[in-house]
Amino acid sequence: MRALLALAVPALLLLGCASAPSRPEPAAGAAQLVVQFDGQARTGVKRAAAGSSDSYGRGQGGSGKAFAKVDYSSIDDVIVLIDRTTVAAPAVAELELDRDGFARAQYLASAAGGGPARLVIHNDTGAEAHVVGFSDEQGFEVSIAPGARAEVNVAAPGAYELTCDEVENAATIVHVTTCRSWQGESEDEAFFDDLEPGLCHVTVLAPRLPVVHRTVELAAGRRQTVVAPLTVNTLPRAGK
Amino acid sequence: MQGRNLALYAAAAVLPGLCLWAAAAVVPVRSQHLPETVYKSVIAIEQAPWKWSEAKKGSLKGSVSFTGRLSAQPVVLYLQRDDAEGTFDPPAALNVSQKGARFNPSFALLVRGQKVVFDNDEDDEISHNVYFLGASEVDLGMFDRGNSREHTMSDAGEVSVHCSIHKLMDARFFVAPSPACTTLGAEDTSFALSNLPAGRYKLKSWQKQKRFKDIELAVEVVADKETSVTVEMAR
Repeated sequence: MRALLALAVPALLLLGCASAPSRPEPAAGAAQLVVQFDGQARTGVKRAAAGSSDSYGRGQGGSGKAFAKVDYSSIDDVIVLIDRTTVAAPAVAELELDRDGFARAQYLASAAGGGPARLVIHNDTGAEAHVVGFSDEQGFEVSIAPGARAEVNVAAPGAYELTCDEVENAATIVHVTTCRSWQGESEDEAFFDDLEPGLCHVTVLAPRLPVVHRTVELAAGRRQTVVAPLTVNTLPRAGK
Repeated sequence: MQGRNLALYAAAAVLPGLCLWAAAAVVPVRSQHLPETVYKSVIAIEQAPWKWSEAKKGSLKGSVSFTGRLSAQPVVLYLQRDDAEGTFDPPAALNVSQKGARFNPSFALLVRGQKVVFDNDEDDEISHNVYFLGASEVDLGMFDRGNSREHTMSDAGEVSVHCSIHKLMDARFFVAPSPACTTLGAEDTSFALSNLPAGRYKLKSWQKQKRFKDIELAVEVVADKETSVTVEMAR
């Protein structure tokens, strides 16, 4: 048994390593940061009996689209921002607009080297679309022919609320930033390489969830890992 | 013995991960030079003991124009006093239905101090949760059919309302600083606010879908008089 365990544990560790993303080792004078996501359903939600297709248990049914449930193991459109300046390869926000609205709850556009951030809006509504976007300070308006796309350059960082005159429910947010940033699903990890050592502020934005803020000390030649809880369990409890 | 060995092997496998986690030294902060959250912050209100009911009153009326296609989504106009706000009786509680995993109404203009009651009036045995993000960030808990949860909105600003179970179950409230507020519908080109305590204010806007620049106009409400303003919502 002991021999079996001695073989099994390293094998499991190797298996774990094999499934982890392949990443370069940190350079001697630079740091790396990995942000992992821990999606947690609210405590107190009833769980299903074994074999049930309903993950929320008896009494949590309901048919129709309105009863679709949050899957905390896979949250889309998560954005991570860290307070290190983007130096290369800025992210272009590619927005898809159709008759149901924008495809994503939020988008990311980063600017580098003092240049503007770029937004590309694809109009798949089948009609001309007038899209407007406003942050607290700035705004833009663009008309897009059916089937065409428009490019918008945005110079001022901020959270831009975008809507479309012709599609009543079209609303999304574009985060325009000069920070190093990442967008993806919570099943993945945000990985940042070649970072300046020192204190690093991390902000995690997930749709419908509280914003997560963390500070981490980055050390030269080291990879640091931060876990961001994606949950409502961090909110104060109130009400009666 | 075998169990003890198993525990040792498990500890050997887990400890490096724990060390990594401990070394992260995470501290929650809000950094100023990162983009702010999409949710609006609390509207700061200075409070004074004077009473609305005892103040001299005037009124405000205005015309509103939009330089662009107006959304069917509501636009709120509200007044914020330049000096300290007085005390007032908030409007009656708002009841919000949750039938069919939908908040109804899905938008409400509330007044600071107003109570909201969420009723789980589902026909079937379905539980709901309610939590707020924005000017109020709280979790009202889980509650089964036939039960309700209530909360007093003590802070002014935008509040988004969600259920942690059902991913399409959302609503949005705007909590005005005082009863000096109104909602513009899609066809409205004018507004009127009456029974306002005399004083200097800022007339401000909030949009459920932001299609225009928000306004901030200085206005003075004079006792026993009607003040007129022209509001242009532009892009």
